[in-house]
Amino acid sequence: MRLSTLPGCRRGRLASLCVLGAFVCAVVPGIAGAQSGGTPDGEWRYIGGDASHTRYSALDQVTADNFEDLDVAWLWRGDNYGPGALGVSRSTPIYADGVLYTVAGERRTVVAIDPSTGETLWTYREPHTTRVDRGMRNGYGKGVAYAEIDGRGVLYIISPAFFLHALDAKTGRPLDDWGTMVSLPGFPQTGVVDLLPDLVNGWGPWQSWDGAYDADFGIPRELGHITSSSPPIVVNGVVVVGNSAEQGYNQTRIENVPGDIMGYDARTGEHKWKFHVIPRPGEFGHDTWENDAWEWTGDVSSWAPISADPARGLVYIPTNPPTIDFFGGFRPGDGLFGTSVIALDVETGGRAWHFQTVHHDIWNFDNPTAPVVMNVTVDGQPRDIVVQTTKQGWAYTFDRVTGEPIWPIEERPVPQSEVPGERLSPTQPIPTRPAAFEMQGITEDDLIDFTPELRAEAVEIVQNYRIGPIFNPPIERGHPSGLRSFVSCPSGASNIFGPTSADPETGILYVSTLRGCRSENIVPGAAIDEPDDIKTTGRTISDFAVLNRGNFRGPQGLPIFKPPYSRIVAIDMNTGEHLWQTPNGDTPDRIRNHPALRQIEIPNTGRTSHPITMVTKTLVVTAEGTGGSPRLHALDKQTGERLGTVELPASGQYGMMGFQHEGRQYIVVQVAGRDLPGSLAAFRLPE
Amino acid sequence: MTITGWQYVARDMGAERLFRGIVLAAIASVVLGVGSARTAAAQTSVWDGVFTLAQAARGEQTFERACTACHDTGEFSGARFRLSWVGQSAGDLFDTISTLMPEGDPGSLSPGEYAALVAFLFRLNGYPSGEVSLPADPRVLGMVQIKESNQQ
Repeated sequence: MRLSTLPGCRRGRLASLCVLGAFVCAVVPGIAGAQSGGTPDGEWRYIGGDASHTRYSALDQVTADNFEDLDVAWLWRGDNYGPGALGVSRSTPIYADGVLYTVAGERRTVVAIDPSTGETLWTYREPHTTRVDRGMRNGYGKGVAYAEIDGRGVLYIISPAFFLHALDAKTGRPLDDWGTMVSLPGFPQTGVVDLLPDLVNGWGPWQSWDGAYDADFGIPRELGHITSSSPPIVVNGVVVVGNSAEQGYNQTRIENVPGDIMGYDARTGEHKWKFHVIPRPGEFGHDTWENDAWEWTGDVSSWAPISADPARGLVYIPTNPPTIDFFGGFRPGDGLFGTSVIALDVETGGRAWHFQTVHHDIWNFDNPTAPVVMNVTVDGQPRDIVVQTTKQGWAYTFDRVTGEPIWPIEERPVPQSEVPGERLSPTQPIPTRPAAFEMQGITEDDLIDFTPELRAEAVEIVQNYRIGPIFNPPIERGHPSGLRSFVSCPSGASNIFGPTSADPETGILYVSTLRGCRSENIVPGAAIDEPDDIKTTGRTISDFAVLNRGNFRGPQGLPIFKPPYSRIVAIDMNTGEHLWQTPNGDTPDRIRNHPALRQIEIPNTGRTSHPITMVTKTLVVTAEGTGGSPRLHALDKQTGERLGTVELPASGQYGMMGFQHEGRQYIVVQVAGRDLPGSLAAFRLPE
Repeated sequence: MTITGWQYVARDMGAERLFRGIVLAAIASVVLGVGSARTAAAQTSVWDGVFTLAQAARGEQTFERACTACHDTGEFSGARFRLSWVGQSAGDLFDTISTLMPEGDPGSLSPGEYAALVAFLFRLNGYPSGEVSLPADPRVLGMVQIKESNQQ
């Protein structure tokens, strides 16, 4: 087969990755049918369950028959782990060698929890630095990483201030003879690495900076700021560190620090490698940056969790767009490796393959969840795949060794921008299979039609906006047309709020998807730039930046589009066919009892909320998410039928996990709500 | 003599009395020949101490609980807030938040919680607090103008 005929190799720029992918295939012989998925021995050693991020537990004590017998074993409250209680529960615990571990609060205080009682066993808190004050995602820790080093359990944590800590899992004490000295008050003498010097080492803007490094403040505001919003992942003795930049819709200036991926020796803390997410001269992809924008553009961070195929020594990294959402006129070109999936060799940091899911992304279409590693059978052939579910509503599916799309991904024309200075990619990569799991753009056919009156109102509303297909480009505020803004749908179909899960035994992917649109108002950056704000980074104000997220709403307080408003979609990855879909939760009272809908039969709309899921040997377990009712449901894995329901102390959030401790199966759900900050609720069957 | 609506009713703790106070202030303005009822009402602005610090603190707690999953305060402060909201009223802000948010269950907070959120955003943007809470009454909220400065 000629490489140029491979699906996904149709554009010239993809040919190189396919060549490299074929090379990797050739030099890694004998690794067929590498294991993927499932948590052995009732453990849950990664935030996504396993390195594959399937969120699958092979335990089977909890079944459809006894699900409603589940009791709350304990409630672990997240109060008092920071200057204020965090009203969100973003961190999924891990269970390793008989103990639960997670992070809590805005400081990401590390916590060890007794799985039987919920008692806090120990905590570890990083001393305060100005870097925390500069933080824009402090409470976004999603948990910890774990590895066994010389027979001892070790936890690895990235703090909001961007330090890497290694702790003895049993005691919470920093590891001896590990990392580099941090000369800041209160920091441990060992067991920690300041990630910033390694990140900026060799980076032009830092090399040109005259001042000395300030470990308390971090790099100067003119150059940027960086944090993290996920734990690292430890693969084959290497700690792979991602990072996170300020949300692109809050930025007004074009410069920032690139979110390069780094590898550290798990045993010593020694820096091993760094992968440039914005390629430098001579590196693959450098030519996708015009206007010399590679020199000063930043972000392209891997803020969502990273997954891996340990047998092949590959890590799968989802990335964010480059600096600034909704305007990229200053960085013409596709901008690799923005909004991509990157496969790296964990030993060297070398690129095995990549796929850019959005070219020149300005839509905030970052890849928002960990790629899911699975083994399936496609057309009678065993295929080792990795699946990236996206905000656009697609499941991009690749051979995880070569990067070759399992089903063709076509470059299709997309609308172009009228915003002065903006130059969008003429095409975007659209998967031909599986089918999209969420609406693709919005037309009048998509509008609410419960009654003719509501529909007429909705039609009138959208006449004030530029509606259109997916990748509908923004228009600036004050556009000559008089339109209020643009509308782009979906806005975040698959997203971090409801990570994708999978059953490695059947090859079924369970996707959490939310129906939504966005209508950001963009204005000249100078109108909203805040030069004195400690969080403002960069030097040059962008021609355009996001003023606010718009005010696009439906008639009479109802969603403007047809339901369901959120769903779980099961996709058989052996065939790419949608197996079933079900609304997330039940029609909320505010809709069922809405005055305009009296006497009208409406289908179950579901909630406007990302469901959270995990999979067990026997069930799909799901909570309705932040905007849902506080209930935990059991679904049939093959049909989606609801088989049982129990009450939660508050609505589920972001994730859940399961494990077996002292012979009993537990399900731990992240919850938060009124009078309950980010907390954990543990369920088990009565003895 | 000039009576501005909000100062006139600053000691009044009830929304209904607050509303009556604004109307009375407007009438007083007409009687005293300092403007029409319309302009008197318009003179009530975010610069007149339209919320209490305690209410803003409650709003901050609500923000932490109900909003921070998706938002941070930077989106609603400084130039972004002014450019988005100057020229509109506290009622417009209240209506937008209570109609659209939280995304998963819009309208699910109590009217008092939505009013406290508005108070929090006003404090966040440096508007002065006063002795009376911002009521959750659309009639009153609609009369509180969001102005660039207290000189207008």
